[in-house]
Amino acid sequence: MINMKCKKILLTFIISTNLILNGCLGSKEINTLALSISIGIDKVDDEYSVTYQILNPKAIASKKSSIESPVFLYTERGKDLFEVIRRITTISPRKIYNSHLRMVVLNEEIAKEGIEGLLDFFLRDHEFRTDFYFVVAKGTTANEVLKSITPLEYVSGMEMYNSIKAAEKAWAPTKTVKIIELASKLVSEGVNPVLSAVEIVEQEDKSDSIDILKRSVVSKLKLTGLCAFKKDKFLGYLTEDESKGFNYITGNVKNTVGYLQLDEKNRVTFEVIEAKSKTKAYMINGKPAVNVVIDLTLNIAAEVGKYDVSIEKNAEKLNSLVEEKIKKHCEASIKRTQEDLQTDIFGFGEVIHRAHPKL
Amino acid sequence: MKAFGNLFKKKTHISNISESENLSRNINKNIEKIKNELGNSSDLSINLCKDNINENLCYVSIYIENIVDKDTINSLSSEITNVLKAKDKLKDCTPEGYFNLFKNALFGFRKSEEGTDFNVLISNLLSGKTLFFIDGYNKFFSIDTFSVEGRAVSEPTSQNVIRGPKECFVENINVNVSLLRNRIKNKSLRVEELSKGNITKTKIVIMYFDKIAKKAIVDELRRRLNSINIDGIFDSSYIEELIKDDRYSIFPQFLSSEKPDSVAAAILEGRVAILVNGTAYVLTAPALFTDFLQSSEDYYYPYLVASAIRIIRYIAFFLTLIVPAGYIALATFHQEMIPTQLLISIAAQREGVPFPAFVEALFMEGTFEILREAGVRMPKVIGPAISIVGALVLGQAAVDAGIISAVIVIIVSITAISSFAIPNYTMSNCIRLMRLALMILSAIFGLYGVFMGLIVLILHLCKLKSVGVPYMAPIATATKNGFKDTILRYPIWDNKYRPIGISNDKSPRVEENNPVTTEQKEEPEFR
Repeated sequence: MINMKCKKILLTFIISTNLILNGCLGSKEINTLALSISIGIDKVDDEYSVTYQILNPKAIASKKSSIESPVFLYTERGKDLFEVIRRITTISPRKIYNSHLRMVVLNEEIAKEGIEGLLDFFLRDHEFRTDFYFVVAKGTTANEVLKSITPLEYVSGMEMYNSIKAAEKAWAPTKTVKIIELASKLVSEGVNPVLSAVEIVEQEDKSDSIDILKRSVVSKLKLTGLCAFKKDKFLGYLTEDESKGFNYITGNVKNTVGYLQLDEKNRVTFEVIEAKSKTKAYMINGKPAVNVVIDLTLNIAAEVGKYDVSIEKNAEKLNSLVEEKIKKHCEASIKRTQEDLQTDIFGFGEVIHRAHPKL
Repeated sequence: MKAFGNLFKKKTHISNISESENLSRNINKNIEKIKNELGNSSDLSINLCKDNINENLCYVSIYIENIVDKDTINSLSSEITNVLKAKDKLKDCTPEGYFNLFKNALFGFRKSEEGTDFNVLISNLLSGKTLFFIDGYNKFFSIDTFSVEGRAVSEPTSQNVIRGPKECFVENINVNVSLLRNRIKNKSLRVEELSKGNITKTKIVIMYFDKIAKKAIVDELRRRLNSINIDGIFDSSYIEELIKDDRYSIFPQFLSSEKPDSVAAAILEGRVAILVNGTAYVLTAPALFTDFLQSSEDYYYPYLVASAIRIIRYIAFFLTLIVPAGYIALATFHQEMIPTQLLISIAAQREGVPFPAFVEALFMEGTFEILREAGVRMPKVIGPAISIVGALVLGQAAVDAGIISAVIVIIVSITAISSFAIPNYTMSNCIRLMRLALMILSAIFGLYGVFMGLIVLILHLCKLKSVGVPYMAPIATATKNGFKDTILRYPIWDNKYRPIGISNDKSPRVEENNPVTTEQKEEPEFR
């Protein structure tokens, strides 16, 4: 048995070595960090052009409206993504801190070439959390998207982050895609990923100065539905209705709004408050088939004209019309992806594989 | 260390009085001796009287002026005059007869004593008794005439309540015993007296309820108290520090209270109260961790309200312990754990602050502790000045000047407010130190350090004992009904049994049956 004195000496030794060895290695003060809110990745001349959107906390949280820009952009080019990101420290006075990254904006060009190589970096690096979203910049570069000064949320990264979440909840045609989902869709056989697309609208003044916020009409970022991928390669955009159809089929609709034009005078607006979908695979005549059942609960949100919904017959008629309309969206979505783009973003392949593994 | 200890132990205490010595028959010799012993103190009053009738007889009364009650002395002297009027009895009286005459006339209802030992005589004199002895007889008797000016029973100063008894112990131990006796009128309430302090001879009283208190606990406490060997005791905290189970632990292992109602309740639960003369704080033991987060008021409010208040108190306890440490850890090590929006506003406030978060926190905590200490020591007249200096100069101005960030002011404020929610000041003080230790750990190791610190803290708490009872008792060594009076306070009618580890008595202390029956309740108007 070791006596108490030895134990005490041992304990002091362990504690003091801990102090020396561990030290304050991991410590970093908040005001020595540059918080990155979004990363934009473009392709310029066979090289990555990475744009970092760095938050300027001084401008964001001060009570008085600031004269400084809420964000600063750092752009650097290079062949390797990690190398580029580290090279940014040569132009940034502070170490870039990636844990609060909100958005990764991909250029269409990059997306077309394949995003697998990019994803690996985001998955491997310890500083990235897994709760940021990926989007594709439609008709513009990622740099332009990050450059734009957006109203309400000064930081365009935050604007996109909040808007994509809000739109998914209240208006179906977008989808939040985090890195885990994206990566797992990439590696699984029967399903292909989708990403939301973002475009710049109402860009009258190309200025990236905060002064444009003095006007009521400023450039805004708009989420315009989804875009479909095959494996890691970008194929094309879906329209808003097609995106909606996609979300209906995959059961991703939480709340959305639609209307029915019954005739020239009468129109009924309805709000989907609950939508569930079930996908089942069958074999019909030796060919695989998929049956999608969508369960909807609707609210009548508004009514124009004299259509009396309180009559049971009319209500039933409405139901069938809504069914038809949603079916149309879904079918359009399936048709577009299967015939034009030739990809399976719904995961039908996976469903069939589960039901009939031998196929 | 040990060698030094032995060195000191071998020295005899100055106050140790020489062996017992009997009174002399010669009155003048005795008086001279007393005078010598007390160094001819100016407040020593010696009245030597020759009897008017029988000139052979002579008596003396001795007392110390400053600690006797003048009224009692006056009534004593008038009684003596009455005694001396009995001429026929005095004519051929021996000194012994004379002594008995006095004794019989004066003893009455008074607390009195007779003896022959000179040392007892001296100690009687010093505790405010008036001594009588007769020339030619080697016995004395003493009558208690002790009285000192003391504070009247008033409202408590450190344990304020809104509802409930507002009496508070005073410095006079007799008053304190009477306050407790008044609350527990039962023959089984035991009051044991001892005197400790080789020089001060401080009176200490232990009180417990015979059938409820565990004999082992009472015996152990008595043994520990008897083993005390110190020159003087001026407060009950001396006792605590001398006899607590783990004398190196920072945590209080005796509960000090200045409220008679909570001490009486503790006695009823089987705890032992230790009263010390000269202090208004009474110790109760065993005192467990949960006791320090309870207030007597908890029992005077409806049980739901009281439980909610207790939960708040526990939350406050944890807040005051870990908020600054948690902030330092998050702000310097784990920024990824702060929600983005919050991080942005913290970052905005930290912008331009020259110190790291730890130094900042240490600065503000230090300032607060200094303010608090100054506030306690400061003359009451200039009290308001400190709040102005504290709130305006140190809070607002330091933030405006960019020396510290506004977040840390909020953090320190939360900590400070929470620390005041702990009802026991001793516990709250000890949390102050714990908090500092955690802050240092978090500055070095981050959350890892904070949790290591907390683990060490919990291990220490589980190891502690108060008079042999595990400190975390109803929680860490779970007892069947113990949880009913810990974080929640169960209704009085439901909390049937006394705490198991502390009390010996297994019988229920309350009958659960509800006097209002269900049938009665269903009647539209019942009474």
